Amino acid sequence: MSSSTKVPRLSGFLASTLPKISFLLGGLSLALTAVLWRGNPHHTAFSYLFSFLFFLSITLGSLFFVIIQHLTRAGWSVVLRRIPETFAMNAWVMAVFFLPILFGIHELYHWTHADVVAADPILQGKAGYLNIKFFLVRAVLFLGAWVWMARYFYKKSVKQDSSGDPKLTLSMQAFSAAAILIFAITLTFGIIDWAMSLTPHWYSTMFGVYFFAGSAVAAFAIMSLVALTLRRFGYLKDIIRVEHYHDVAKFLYGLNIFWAYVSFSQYFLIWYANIPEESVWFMQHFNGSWNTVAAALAIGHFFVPFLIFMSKHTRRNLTAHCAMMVWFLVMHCLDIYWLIMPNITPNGIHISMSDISSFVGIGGIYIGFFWLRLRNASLIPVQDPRLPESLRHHT
Amino acid sequence: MTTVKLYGLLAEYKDPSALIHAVEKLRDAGYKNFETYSPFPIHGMDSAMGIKDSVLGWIVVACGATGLASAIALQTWVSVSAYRVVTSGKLLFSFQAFVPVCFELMVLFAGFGAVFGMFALNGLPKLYHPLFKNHRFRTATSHGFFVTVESSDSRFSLEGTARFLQEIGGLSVEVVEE
Amino acid sequence: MSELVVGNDDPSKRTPLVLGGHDFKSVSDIICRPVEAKAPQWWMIAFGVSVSGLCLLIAMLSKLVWSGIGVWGLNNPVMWGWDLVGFVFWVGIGHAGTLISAILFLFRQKWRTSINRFAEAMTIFAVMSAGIYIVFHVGRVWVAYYLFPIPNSMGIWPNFRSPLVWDVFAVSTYFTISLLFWFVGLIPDLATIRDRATTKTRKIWYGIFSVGWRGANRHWMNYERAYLILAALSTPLVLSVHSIVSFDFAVSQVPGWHTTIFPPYFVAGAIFSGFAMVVTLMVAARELFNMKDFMTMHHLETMNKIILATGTMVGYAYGMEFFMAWFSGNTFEQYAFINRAFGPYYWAYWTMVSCNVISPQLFWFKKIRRSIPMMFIISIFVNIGMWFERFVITVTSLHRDFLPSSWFYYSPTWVEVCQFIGSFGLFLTFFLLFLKFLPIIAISEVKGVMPAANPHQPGEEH
Repeated sequence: MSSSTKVPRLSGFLASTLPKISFLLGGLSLALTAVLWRGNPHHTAFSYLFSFLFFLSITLGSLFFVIIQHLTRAGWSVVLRRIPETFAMNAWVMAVFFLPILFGIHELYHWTHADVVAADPILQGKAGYLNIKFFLVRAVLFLGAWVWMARYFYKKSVKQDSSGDPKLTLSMQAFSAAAILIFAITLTFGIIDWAMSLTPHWYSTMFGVYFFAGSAVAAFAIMSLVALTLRRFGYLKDIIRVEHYHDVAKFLYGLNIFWAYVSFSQYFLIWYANIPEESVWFMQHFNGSWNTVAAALAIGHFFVPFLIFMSKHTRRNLTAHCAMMVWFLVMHCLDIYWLIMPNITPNGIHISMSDISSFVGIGGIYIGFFWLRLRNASLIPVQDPRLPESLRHHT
Repeated sequence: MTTVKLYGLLAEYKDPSALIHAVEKLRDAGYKNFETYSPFPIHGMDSAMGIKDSVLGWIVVACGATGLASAIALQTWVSVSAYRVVTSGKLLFSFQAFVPVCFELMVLFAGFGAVFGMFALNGLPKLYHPLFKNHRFRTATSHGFFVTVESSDSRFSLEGTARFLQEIGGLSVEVVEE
Repeated sequence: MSELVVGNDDPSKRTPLVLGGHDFKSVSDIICRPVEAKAPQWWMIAFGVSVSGLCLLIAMLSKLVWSGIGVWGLNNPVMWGWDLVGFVFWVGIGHAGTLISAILFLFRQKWRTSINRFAEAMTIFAVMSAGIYIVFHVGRVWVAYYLFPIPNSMGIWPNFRSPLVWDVFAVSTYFTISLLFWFVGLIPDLATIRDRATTKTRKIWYGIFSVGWRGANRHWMNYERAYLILAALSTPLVLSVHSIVSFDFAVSQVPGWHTTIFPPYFVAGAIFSGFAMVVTLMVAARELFNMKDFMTMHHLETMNKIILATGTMVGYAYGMEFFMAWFSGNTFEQYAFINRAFGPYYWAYWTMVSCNVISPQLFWFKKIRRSIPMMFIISIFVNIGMWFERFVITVTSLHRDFLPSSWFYYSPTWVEVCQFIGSFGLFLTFFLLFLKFLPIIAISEVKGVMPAANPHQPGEEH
């Protein structure tokens, strides 16, 4: 079986230098962010929330990838699975990074101010859900659930590397059905709490699905980028082949259309009905140059990849593929930025120092921990019973 | 009596594997006008035969673009100039509201392009073909695997090709007339 | 992605998709048998019953056209009743076919090969039943052509900012593309029947419809590409159709209708109901035609898992709607949902929840997933539940208008009930004709997933 597959461990630049650089850069940027926070806590808190949600979306999208591969008993993706498994394990990093949000809770969420609520009958009606205590309890539950699920899959998968026990696959499959339910509920309410409640009057039943769609796109893109980086450094060249990249591109193509479908539907239904308490959110997000950002998202996030990835040749050309993956991540980043930042710069997009420092800060630590963990285990699930199928995979 | 023109030679092979190996040898021997027949598409046959990739995708893209353009033109013309009625306070040109029909017409045209383009590329419908006269060939749509070499091929010779087809595993070799 | 398999417990092996040690010839023999043999007695009886249903439909539609929409129980503010419920019900069922054919094809779910033909046929006939509703509910059906942008002496054009016009385009595109997709899939199989034909009539008719197919590899290449492209087109199409159906409701300002999750929620519901209908019909057909080697327990179990998954998604949407209604702080929203669960139509709401959310949860148990009687019963429950879902959405949201003086309790008249029964007649008549005259399993595709179809010997590189 697959025990004959020899996979080198990560070493050299990727295993030690890159994490070191990431940690250094991240640490310095976080220190800068802290300084900026002292100067302007209101603005910096929003910058921080944007960066937090971006990396959270990658973590959750990766967790989704792992769950869905087990749920569908997928064979083709086995060689790729260790990457999202490792990203999902960063859930604990995100849990730690959540703490500053608590610190800035009054800066971010105006429903936390007793005087605001006292003057607002609508917020009083929501107080049963939107109150600090319950908010904390939920945050602990959600982050705890993600850490728990990520660990469950990662530990079993790594254990299988040495034991080769197919029963581990069966138990992961059995858990995946429950996991997808937990995932759907925690993601939905997590994003309602942390992003939707920034405008606490506004509501949309699609919001959770919208965030999920973007997360899945980002996770596929970063997974492919990591695989390409490994390839660049000479790892897994014959294992993760063009066939796999081709499939990733196809899924991304579909998920990106799904993202467009969900975001268009959300916008479209609110635009058509034009009920003031709903339209207000889009008025805010279309104000000034935010309107340009929204248009850029429609074109850049949807149309450009839609046209470029339509051809099999761009999906299979690794240079074009790599460029598209970076593009997807940039677009996803812009999407999250557009989601959060109109709250703080209502007149238009205005990229500030704290946006960059918090993004690089969280990102540096996040990426550092990712590579550190990737080095601790085999780069692919070497004993997975479906590995031969994945190695043979042909589109 | 009219002289009967020769269409080519028909040879049957045992299974998909035998067929694909035979075809590789035919290709390597320099034959061009040959074709295989099977009850289902065989993976790897296109490269074994050395044929170029289908151009259908381009036809579909062109048709889809036409559909999209006609949808935009139709809706804009109807809403903005032919029948100007303000409904539910929307602008006459409300691109948001045009998206559903744009999408549907794009898909409709592209779908027509895919089906009728496939027919055109394949030269179908073609209710008569010399092969239909061959009795043995009837199993080609059920469980038979066949190769034909057409007489128009420059390397074609009745005896030589027939012998070659047999050498590369042909179970039976028959002459097909036009 | 790969197979949704759990039939065996060894994750390194895949469950075989065709049982019974068939070769290519016996596959053709078995699948063509119903077409070539005399119609069995049960078929004649079922056909007779279905045609009577069809006649009932024609009678009801004639009455409708003769007397006007007044023969239905609709009244302000409930302007939509069983007509829209019936339309959405049927068009929803019509989603499983394209889903199985297209989406599962793109995901390389090879198990789809033995059920896609069947499900696609169901799609087409279900969309026909849905079309009957959408055409006749306009009232003056003889001017229904106004729905299309056809130049006319009145100088009237459709309003492209109206969701009902989008519906016309969506449903007619969907019907056309589904029909083409189905026909393209049928061509090689029709050729199989043509080449096996022993009677002249069969030879001529199947000859015409198989357009001269002869299985040439150059044809297969374009054919496979066309099939792939049609699948890629149908996937967003199938999502768009039910989304556009949901727009009929969701672009309005009616509490209970206007909610942003409607498009994906409707799509999930459509897949859910469609799969349930496929299971209902498949359980019967595999028994009656003795095709258990192709429509295996593994197929049924996978279908049941998808029913469980989509049923749970529908449950998520119900929950989300309720939460958001409360969270919105909008008293009209809140009232609409409390009224749904505890108002005059509470019985419809709880029927819907029990059938759609609770009953499929039994599929968590492997025993139940693999039990023919249980899956038959649950699939019927799901069909009932999904009908009620559309009833709940359509009627309970309308019957409490913003003006309490217009509040109304809607119940259908006998015409509506008989028309709905009649729509089953239409659906089943066509479906039975399909069972008799066309290969109900995609012969060439099933052969393609058999191990013998792989030209590469084990261990050989390709």
